Amino acid sequence: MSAIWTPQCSRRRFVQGIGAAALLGGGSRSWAQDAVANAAASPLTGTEFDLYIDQTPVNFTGSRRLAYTVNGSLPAPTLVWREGETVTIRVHNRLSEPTAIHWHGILLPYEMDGVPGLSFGGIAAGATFTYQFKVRQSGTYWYHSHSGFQELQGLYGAIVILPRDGERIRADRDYVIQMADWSDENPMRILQKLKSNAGYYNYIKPTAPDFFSDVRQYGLQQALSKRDMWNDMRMSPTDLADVSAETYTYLLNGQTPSSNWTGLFRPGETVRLRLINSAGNTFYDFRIPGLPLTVVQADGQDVEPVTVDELRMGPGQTCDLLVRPKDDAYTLFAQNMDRSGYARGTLAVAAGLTAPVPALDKPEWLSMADMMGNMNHGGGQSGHAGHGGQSLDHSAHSGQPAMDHSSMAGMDHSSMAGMDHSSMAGMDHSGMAGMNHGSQGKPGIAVPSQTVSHASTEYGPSVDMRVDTPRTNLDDPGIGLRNNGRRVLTLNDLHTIGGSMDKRLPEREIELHLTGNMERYSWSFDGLEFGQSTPVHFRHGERVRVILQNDTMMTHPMHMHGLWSELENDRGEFMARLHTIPVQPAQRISFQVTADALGRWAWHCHLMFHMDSGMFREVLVA
Amino acid sequence: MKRTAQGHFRMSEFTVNATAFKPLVLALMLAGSGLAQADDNDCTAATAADCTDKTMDHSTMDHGNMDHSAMNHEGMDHSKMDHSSMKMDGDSMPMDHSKMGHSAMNHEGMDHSKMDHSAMKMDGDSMPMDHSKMDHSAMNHEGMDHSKMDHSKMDHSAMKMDGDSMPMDHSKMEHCDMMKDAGSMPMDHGSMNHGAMNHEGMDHGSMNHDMSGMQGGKAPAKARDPHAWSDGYQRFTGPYVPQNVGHLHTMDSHSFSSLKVNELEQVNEGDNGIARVSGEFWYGTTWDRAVLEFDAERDNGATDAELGAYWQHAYTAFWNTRLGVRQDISPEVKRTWLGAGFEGLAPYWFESEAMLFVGEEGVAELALHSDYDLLLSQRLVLQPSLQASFHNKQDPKGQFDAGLSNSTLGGRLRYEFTRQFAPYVGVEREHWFGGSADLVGERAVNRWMAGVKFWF
Repeated sequence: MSAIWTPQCSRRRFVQGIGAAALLGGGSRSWAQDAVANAAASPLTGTEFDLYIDQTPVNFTGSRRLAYTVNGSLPAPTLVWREGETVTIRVHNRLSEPTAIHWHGILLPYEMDGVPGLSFGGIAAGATFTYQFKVRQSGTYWYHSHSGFQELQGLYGAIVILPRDGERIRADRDYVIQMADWSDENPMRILQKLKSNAGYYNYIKPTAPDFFSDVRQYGLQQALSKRDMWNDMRMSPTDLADVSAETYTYLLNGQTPSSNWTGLFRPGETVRLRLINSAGNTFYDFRIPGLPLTVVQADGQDVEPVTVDELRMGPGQTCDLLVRPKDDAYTLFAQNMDRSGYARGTLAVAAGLTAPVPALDKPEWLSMADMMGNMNHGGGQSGHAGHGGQSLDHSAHSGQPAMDHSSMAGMDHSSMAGMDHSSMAGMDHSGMAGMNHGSQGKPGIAVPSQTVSHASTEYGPSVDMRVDTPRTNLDDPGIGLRNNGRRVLTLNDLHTIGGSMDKRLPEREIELHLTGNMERYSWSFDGLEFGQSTPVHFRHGERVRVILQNDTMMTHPMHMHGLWSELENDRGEFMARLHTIPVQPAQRISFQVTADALGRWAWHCHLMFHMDSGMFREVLVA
Repeated sequence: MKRTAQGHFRMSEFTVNATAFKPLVLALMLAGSGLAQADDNDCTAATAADCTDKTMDHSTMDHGNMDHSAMNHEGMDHSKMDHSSMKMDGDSMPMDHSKMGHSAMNHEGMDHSKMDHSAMKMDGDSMPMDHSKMDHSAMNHEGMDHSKMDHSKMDHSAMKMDGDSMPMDHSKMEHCDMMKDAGSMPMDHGSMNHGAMNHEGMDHGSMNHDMSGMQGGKAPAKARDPHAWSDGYQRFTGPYVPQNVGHLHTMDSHSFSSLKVNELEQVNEGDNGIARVSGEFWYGTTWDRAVLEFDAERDNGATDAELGAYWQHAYTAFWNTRLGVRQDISPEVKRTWLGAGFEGLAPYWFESEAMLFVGEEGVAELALHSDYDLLLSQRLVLQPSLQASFHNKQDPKGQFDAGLSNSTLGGRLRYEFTRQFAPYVGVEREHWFGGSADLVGERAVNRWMAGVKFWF
């Protein structure tokens, strides 16, 4: 019940943070003393690690708070492992409460996965737990607390795993860029506010002056119809981020925008940036004005290099980039999805140099496609891919606010052909149903089902909308990034080198819907919060297809522990091997899983307030 | 606060392969790339059939071995086809095209520009088409000219977009192969001329995107069993459950609470000053909450209060039921009511409540309330509100008569310094009707007030 009055004058400081190193020294332990001198600890290498979990004072906003730290450091020290080695990590809990460390994206025995109450008993106050497992992969990953809200208050760090046969990606310098969000408010308090008023942190709501401005520009009828659907359905077109810069300060490597983390380079060098979104509840749109970004890894897995200007990352995702800076300084700019704030850092040839910080983009209303999915009556969504998504600029039509063509993902002219056929009335092709173009003799289901199947529990109070015509294209960069003049990475651009890990076709499909009720701030799978749910059972050894359909208006980064999620397109073609897949509003995606890891695993939205509100399932491989 | 040397940190910095950059090393990684080519190019595209004779019975026709591959439709002119009187349903035309091979059909030169579909009926009953397995991948649309398509007279306003009336399933149409490579994608959008397309007359404003199927409703019988994927397994029992440890729970099983003071205000009614407080405290989960409601006035030393205690249960996505008791306390009357009703969010964001109370001596009250937040800015909010009470019979103590007894129309303008703290000024006008007005001794009063809304 503290501090209900937040003077406006402090707002800039909230967003920008204070200009000094934020981590204050606390205690007399040697690592804490190090922390005073060097906010983030040096990377730890080897096969044996000792991690001390403690609380350490920090000051990001002008107010002193306690953060959860590892070895006194925020972010926690980067752990450097080597593929093929067995690592032993002793986690010492110096808190007065339990803790647990989860190794995000790492394949390991389920007892080592670190989800308290699911994979093990957690680490009691004062106790030490020894994690030990063989490292079976390489790339960029991260680790964080899976206990309470500790991750949201600082308990996260990077993992870099060097390939067994040497690094395949050549770079002269290598930086971890770990983005996060920080609030002086207790996360439990934030959740309580959202439960009371889900729009609490939303300061981009539609207003009456917006309406009159649209009336002047487009006329009364258009202005009304632009709002009619949203108001009729009691959904907000500006529901882009549940928690905004109203309370968040955005961090890059533990630094506020004004304290400006800086990485050094020499002109002409190739710099590898290992991007990790460790935020509790923030999607980041990352770019470096003036530098093309060559994506070489996604979720730790090498992908065919693709060069973009910008990419969106949900919490839990990692992405490795190569850049070749030539000028003296560049700004690392990561604006959040509702455009209320940003994380910032600098690449420069010398400390103290800075480059201009871009203005935040204007927040964009969610589109019809975000609510209804495929607006295209003809189907054939993936045909859109051929247009290159962003090269199609319908923005000239944007004078018609009732229908924004610029953001209509499903609008492709290729489907005009389909319209012609549909108008050839009366042909009954139903007899064709027996034809299966997919199987071609191989057992299994080649092409993911497109038949929407809502669960019976989606018709109750926990679900505020259902999508009957989902979109299945992967080439939509998402709200706020469409036709923004920059080349933005989409899931359609990701192709893991070497293809799928398992060439079998899936024997069965498991369809689940991502659901929620924004007014009640409840999030779930199939309308069932975790407390009412039953496990999703994968049969040991099977290759199974998981279909996720998003029946909400928010993007959910879905993270499955212990098993790879092999993303495919709507034709069943392998795209990328991921551990965290962002599913956009009204989108239906599918991925395949080889259920080779026995045990009980967590599967959840990595927006932590969604996870903790119930968008969490247990996966049982048995 | 200590500032570290040079104002930046070398965290996480380490060098890997500090050799000179070789950009083409990446080419190594390209090996083994590429999407699997689908090897299925069967084409079973729909073509127009000559079947205007409604009385014909095609049911015994077998087209199974027809080969249309060499057909050339070049030059066909469909422009004068009139399908308006066609009746096409599964019963009268059980054609089986499943083995037809249209893959080599050439539609070059077809001109659809003058087709008139205006009288077509496109609803599910008369057109149970299933395109779900059609593969158009090898179709050649080269030469199609869309430039003369005129959408100006398209009127979507009568389209109904719900599943019942339009069961066409195009979702599995395979247009994707069209994009695969230049060879299989002869469509050249570069030369498409959309410039002559006329969208001018399109009226999206009156499009009827029937959203009613997207919210609420009853689960159909065929709805998916949400527990089907568990194969009978449960959480916390069975294989791989850690023994003797507390079970994982998330905050969905947690109880929250909140105290909301919607009105703490000084009310001025003529020369009279009245202090008023109203609001509620709730405790519980997202689905079931205990709610204590309070609404009290102090006027010239006399206190007039209504206190309610309800169980609030989530009933639909936007509506809760409330069941409980209300206690009225005033100098004239003390009365206990049983109350039941609804509370929630009506379409267009009207916070609304409808409660039916049954009190001692057989009196009953229907109390309605609705308010709306009109955002003048992100922090300046005008909240109009309307409240009305109906009673079943006259009760002099309670100062009401049968029928509509009173209504209050008000507006409060607040400024949200935070979402939790908002001072306001407001006006309201209360009316009494019929016998109630006689009992109260007033027809209407105007009030203005200043106060603060806050919550924890």
